[in-house]
Amino acid sequence: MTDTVTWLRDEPLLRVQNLVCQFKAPGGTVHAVSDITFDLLRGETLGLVGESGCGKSTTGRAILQLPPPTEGSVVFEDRELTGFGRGEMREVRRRLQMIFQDPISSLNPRRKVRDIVAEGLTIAGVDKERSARTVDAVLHDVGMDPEQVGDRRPHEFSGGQCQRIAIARAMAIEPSVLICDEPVASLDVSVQAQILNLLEDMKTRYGLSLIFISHDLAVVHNVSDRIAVMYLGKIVEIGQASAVYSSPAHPYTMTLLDAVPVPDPEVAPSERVLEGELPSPLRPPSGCRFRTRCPLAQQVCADLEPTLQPASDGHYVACHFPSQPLPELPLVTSGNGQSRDA
Amino acid sequence: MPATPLLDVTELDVRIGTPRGVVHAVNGVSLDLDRGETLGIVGESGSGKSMFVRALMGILPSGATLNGSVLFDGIDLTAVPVGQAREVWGRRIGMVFQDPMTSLNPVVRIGRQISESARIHLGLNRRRAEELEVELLGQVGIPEPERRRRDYPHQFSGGMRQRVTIAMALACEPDLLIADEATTALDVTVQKQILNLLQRIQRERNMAMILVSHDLGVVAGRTDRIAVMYAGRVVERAPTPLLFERRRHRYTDALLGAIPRLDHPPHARLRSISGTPPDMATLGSGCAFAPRCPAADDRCRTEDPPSASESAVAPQPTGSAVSEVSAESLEASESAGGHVYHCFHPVAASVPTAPRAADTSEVPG
Repeated sequence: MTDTVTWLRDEPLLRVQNLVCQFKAPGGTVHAVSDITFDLLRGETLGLVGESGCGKSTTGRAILQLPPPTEGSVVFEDRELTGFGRGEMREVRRRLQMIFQDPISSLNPRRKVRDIVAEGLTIAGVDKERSARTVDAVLHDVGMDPEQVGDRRPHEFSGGQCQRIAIARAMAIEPSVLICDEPVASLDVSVQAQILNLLEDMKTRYGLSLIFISHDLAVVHNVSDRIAVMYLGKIVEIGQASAVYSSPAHPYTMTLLDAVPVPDPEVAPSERVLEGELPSPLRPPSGCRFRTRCPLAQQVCADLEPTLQPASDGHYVACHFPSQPLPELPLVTSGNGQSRDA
Repeated sequence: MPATPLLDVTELDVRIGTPRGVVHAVNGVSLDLDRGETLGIVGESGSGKSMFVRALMGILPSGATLNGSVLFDGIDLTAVPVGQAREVWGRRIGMVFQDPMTSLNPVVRIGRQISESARIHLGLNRRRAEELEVELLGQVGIPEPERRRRDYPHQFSGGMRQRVTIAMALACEPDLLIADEATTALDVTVQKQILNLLQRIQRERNMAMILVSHDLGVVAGRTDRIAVMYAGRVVERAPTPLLFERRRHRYTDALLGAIPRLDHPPHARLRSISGTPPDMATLGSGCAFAPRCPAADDRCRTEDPPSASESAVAPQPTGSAVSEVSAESLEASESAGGHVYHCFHPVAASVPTAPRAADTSEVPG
């Protein structure tokens, strides 16, 4: 049931094909990512959304071979990364950088900001003078004064400022792809807006392509050109952000969008909730992995795994019953008195 | 509004001694709340919102001092002996915290943890306590409550654990339930489950509820009134629809503008708030938001903005973009004297909330 590659596009900067990530665990094998395929064009932002445990972070790390995927291929700038040794990967990572959720713990607390930002350059063997110039320029680009912050250490900064430093470090060696793993999840909204705007600026200034991993659909919507929705290690829907958000085709995407709190008192929160729990990735359900919580599930969903099929132009969905309206009532799957009748 | 609200907080100050100096965590907060009412408290980290609700619950960190009065059903919790206050804390006020794992004891079965407060406060015997455990677990939507009450916290997922802590808070049938960022650590779908659950329980029991959140989206459709906190102060409070439609404080406005919304076009530039929240140990005079405020002038930096009240003669919202809230209902709640803000340069009286595109049919059906 390998996805046919017809929907992949020409001349991608990055192409991930049939990626599988499995880990050994006490109870068996964790199927973190199971056969996903996507690509990223130059200058594009791909949003990877899903709830905790859907494999979105594992996917981001597997691209950087941290650790290498169990199966599948990752082609970046026409080079196959799987099977690369440490030295070769070190070379590649100059073009493929990552920033993380917790900016404070991703910076070495003992080092000065200037040295943290310069580290990539030092490893790349850039001479000291040029490296110092680049560090000043990139700190300036992320909105920090190199004179003031250069000799201070991470604990003197807030979370938002640490994320700026982490972005500066990633940008210093001018990568072509930046993988952002929940970069704003631990920040306040006001600071979150600063960082999101900064990432957009960096994208323009450095000609970046972004993979933006987040559980927050509103945040992903704000920055992404394309969106891939993941559930339990599978991409269930992928397409242009506008198409996925305006006409979601997968029932999971619909419930996910429905659950986003709207900052508008006129929009009453619907009663519809996604019932139940994420199944264990040790024993994912047969067929469609969402079927155990899906209000539209039929026998075919258990028997046959749906593959990504076109829903509209450039918009693909893996569902046997795509684009069907969900029932209005709460999706009660277990008789636990969830319906509100008081 | 009845003569005596269930909760009446007047000029509450919380000071915490730290090695860096005295942190002015809460500064002169006055709020009231009635039975059956839901109050939202919104603010960023460090705004003092958690310290405020902790003060109500008597669980401030050691070394904190408290000034002002907290009247709960006529009892001043700050003045009565601790023994008497404990009759209220945990019994008549229940609280749910952000991190469900650390609010539960990992080596005690959840049933016992749920009924603990009821056994202490209400003197329930074992059989009655077990009945209560099963009943509460059922109410918060945990399947097979009879079996699950014997499980330990690690056997539950994050969302299920939060349901357990809600059951704990409900054990003594409190009159007031405080949810302090109760859904922040949860996924959106689970967050919605929990918020719907809280709302259902609040209505069924006609409890008063305080929803503390950093997310205006969480409180928007689920509260009667909202208080926005910044640097330990309530900078604006109003009935929920008014706060969104006619927000006056610059901070409230900035906070709303910073939220990414599904109905904005992709790559829309967010209105970020420059700078960072102030250090609460070195807070000077003047409006605390002034250093980050686009409208601030010298007066803002030196004088505390007094409390201003929105009068009923505020201009009518103009244009259809202001949404379908009827002008009469706005006027009615406004003239009830509910809209108070502290700002020298308030936002124009009527501002439409962020444009709502007509074609955002989020989910068919």
